[in-house]
Amino acid sequence: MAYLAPKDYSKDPALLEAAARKMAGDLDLDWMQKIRERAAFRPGNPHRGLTLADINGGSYGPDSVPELVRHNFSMAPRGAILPKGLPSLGYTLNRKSEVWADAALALFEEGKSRHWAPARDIPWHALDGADPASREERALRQLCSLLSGVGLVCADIAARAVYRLNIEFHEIKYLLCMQMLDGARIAEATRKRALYGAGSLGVDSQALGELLKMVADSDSYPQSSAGLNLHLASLLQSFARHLEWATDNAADAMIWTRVAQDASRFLSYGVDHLRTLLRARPGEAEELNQHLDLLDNGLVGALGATEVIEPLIVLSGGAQPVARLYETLAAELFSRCESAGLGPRRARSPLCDFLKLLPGSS
Amino acid sequence: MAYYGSVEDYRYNDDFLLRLRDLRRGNLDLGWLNAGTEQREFRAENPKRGLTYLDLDEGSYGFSELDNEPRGPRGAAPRGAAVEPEAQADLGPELNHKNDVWAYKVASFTEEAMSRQWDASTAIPWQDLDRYERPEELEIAFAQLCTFFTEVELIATDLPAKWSWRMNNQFQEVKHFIATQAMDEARHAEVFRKRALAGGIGLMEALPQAEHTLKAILDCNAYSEASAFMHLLAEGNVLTMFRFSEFISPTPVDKRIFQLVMQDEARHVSYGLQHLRWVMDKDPGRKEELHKTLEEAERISIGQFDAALLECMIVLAGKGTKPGQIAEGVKLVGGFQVRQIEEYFQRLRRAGFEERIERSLFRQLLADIGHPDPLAAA
Amino acid sequence: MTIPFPSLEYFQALQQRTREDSDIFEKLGVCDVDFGAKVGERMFSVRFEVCECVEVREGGDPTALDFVLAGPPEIWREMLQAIAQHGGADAAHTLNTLTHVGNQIQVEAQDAEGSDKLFRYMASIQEFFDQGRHLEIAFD
Ligand SMILES: [Fe+2]
Ligand SMILES: [Fe+2]
Repeated sequence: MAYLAPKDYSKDPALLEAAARKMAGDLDLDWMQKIRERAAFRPGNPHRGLTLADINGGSYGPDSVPELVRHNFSMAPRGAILPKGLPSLGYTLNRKSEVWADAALALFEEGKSRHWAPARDIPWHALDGADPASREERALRQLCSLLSGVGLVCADIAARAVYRLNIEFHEIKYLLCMQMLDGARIAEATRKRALYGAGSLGVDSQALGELLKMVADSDSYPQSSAGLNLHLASLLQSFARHLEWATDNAADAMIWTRVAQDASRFLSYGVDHLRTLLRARPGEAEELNQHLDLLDNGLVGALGATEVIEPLIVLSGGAQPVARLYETLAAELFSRCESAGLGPRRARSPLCDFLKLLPGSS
Repeated sequence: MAYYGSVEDYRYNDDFLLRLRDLRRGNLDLGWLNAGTEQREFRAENPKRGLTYLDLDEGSYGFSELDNEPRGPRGAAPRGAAVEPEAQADLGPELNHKNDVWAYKVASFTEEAMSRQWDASTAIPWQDLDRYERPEELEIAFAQLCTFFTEVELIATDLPAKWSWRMNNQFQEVKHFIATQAMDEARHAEVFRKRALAGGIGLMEALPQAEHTLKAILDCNAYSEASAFMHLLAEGNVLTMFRFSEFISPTPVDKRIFQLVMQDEARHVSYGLQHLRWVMDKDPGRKEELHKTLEEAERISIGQFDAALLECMIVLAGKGTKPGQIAEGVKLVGGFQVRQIEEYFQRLRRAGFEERIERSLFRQLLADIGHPDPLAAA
Repeated sequence: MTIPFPSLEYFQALQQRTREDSDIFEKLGVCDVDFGAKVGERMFSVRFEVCECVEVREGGDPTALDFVLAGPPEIWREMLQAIAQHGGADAAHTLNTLTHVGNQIQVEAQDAEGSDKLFRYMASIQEFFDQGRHLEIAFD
């Protein structure tokens, strides 16, 4: 145990005596006077229930949090009275614009209400007709193996920020916890898909792994958010949409629709988060763009890797649909970056040259 | 960025360009078709339960046969995929021994958690709060209790998050369980915050002593230590508190809240118990280290009862602040405290760490209040 | 139709209700538990698998069950009447309340793992008994 509490409570006579006094019925009850701001919030729309937005009135809302948090490093919830003696929990993400997105509140609510569990929600038996030895099946299993790893690392990246995030931004903390679950679920669903029937997993991809490691080892939260919520989520969403297009059975259709849906929440948070950041601190755009240049190079490596592109070609019945998929992926990624306030990236990104090298490129 | 990948610019990388040229010519390498991984038959054993992690527990894909030291894979690849150790992006996992993270039944807990998720916005009949008379002093006490719960819940998002990304991907079922726990705890903090802000009083004062417990959990040196402290002792305490809070809840709306959080909490405690049991069985040499952790954990827990927390529970249990009500509240809270300790001892027993009971600081505490020695009782 | 309590018919009727109201149980999630309900000296065993009550029977070996809820017939009766009256247990008669302080109903278990299952599946088990709101019960 690394932490030593300020005193040995088991030997603190004052504390034990106070507890004994209370347990003899002698209460102070002074805490009952400590009402700071009354609140009796009710659902704005009964169908939605009581949402995070509903309870953010008065000083309980995020508007009360300053850009630089200097007043609270404990786990005391936003709006509680902060007595002396609260310890620091060691948060290192204490600047609001570095993490905040208004969209996070609705995204968290949305994610809860759209929860799914692969074990029982996917009609696995719909895969029974597939021929496990066919090239298409083996290609899909290869892609599932890779996406399973992507899901695991997405969960890791979110986890790395959760405990560093100041409690004043609790909605973002909630959303990152949901991202941990979303990532783990993508890993679960794709693993199960690869193994169902006469299944198997495929080969690892060094290039894709390097892209994941680049994002995971980001220097700052905004960089990590751009990598996770723009790059990796764009990749996940595009691939899932493509695989849904390529399938002819109900199980795959459902898996890929759900994965695309989950990835879309990452995207919405990412765009809104970076937009909030760049509105507050536009000077950070260039540094982020340089970071994205490097990530784009990593993305080129991953998209062009044999073990990634070839199974896509096999599944798509040729190279052309894959070229379209990659073009769309890049176009959507650029448009998300632009919408986030990063400006046009097409001219500087290595993705464009890469697209021209693809078989079947337009 | 601290890591830049191994290729400076793929557009000028000969190997990469050559492969793309081959693709343009229609020549596929197809090496990935010969992954050399095992092919096995996997089905849902019970179609109603669907396809679970337990159904996939076979051969190189399974967790039962997974060695304590799965050497080689350190990257993103899931267990059972073909990995070339010298050509993988090493994510630098720090927890690479199965014994450091694994728990009996963890795959079942994970499936259960995925299946039993609920939504604090819609699963609680918030509108009904207005249907019940809620005396002001009880509502104040309840607001203080909810402030405490809102405050402590997030240790159980932060602590698991702090360790899960350090775990090797070979331990997917544990990492997934931890992700479900993070989500559960976010929902717990959410539901208690909502209750405090719906009741008319708002959030009250935070509790410094409780927060020292949280910090001690977060700062544990090793995952197993943190798990014994948090999952087994602290969440065990919180589970008993949830049961007690359900019991003293002023309205059926509140009863519903506690029924739902209790289910999640019991799952977290069960994981902690089964992880400790795993460590006791497979790595008994760690006992002394865990004794030390739990000794400090017990010490700090003795001090966790901030005055306001103890008093608000007494007021709620006695249903008011009149002397007779306080006397009744004290009686109930006293019984509750004994129960917390008894349940902790029962879990230690089940985990195979009975010897902790003998050394536990709580035994003195029980003796001080004239409670029979649990070891004599056992 | 009036159903006597305690009786196997009563538990069978609850089991039937879990099938008719399966949506509620599905929404609450998987619930894998084998528990006993001891009314005075008569013991009934209830088994849930996935989300469904798959078996009820009279008797059973308490040591083979996860836990047993044991209470005098008067308390069970009070609980069932409250469920009928309020359309589900009222605040004073939830399973947790009855098993928590005062031990009006005892939770008997071989070990902590077994008793913790009551808490892990509390909402499903509560809903199981709350389904009694649809039944007309006659007490011995
Ligand atoms: Fe919790
Ligand atoms: Fe918990």
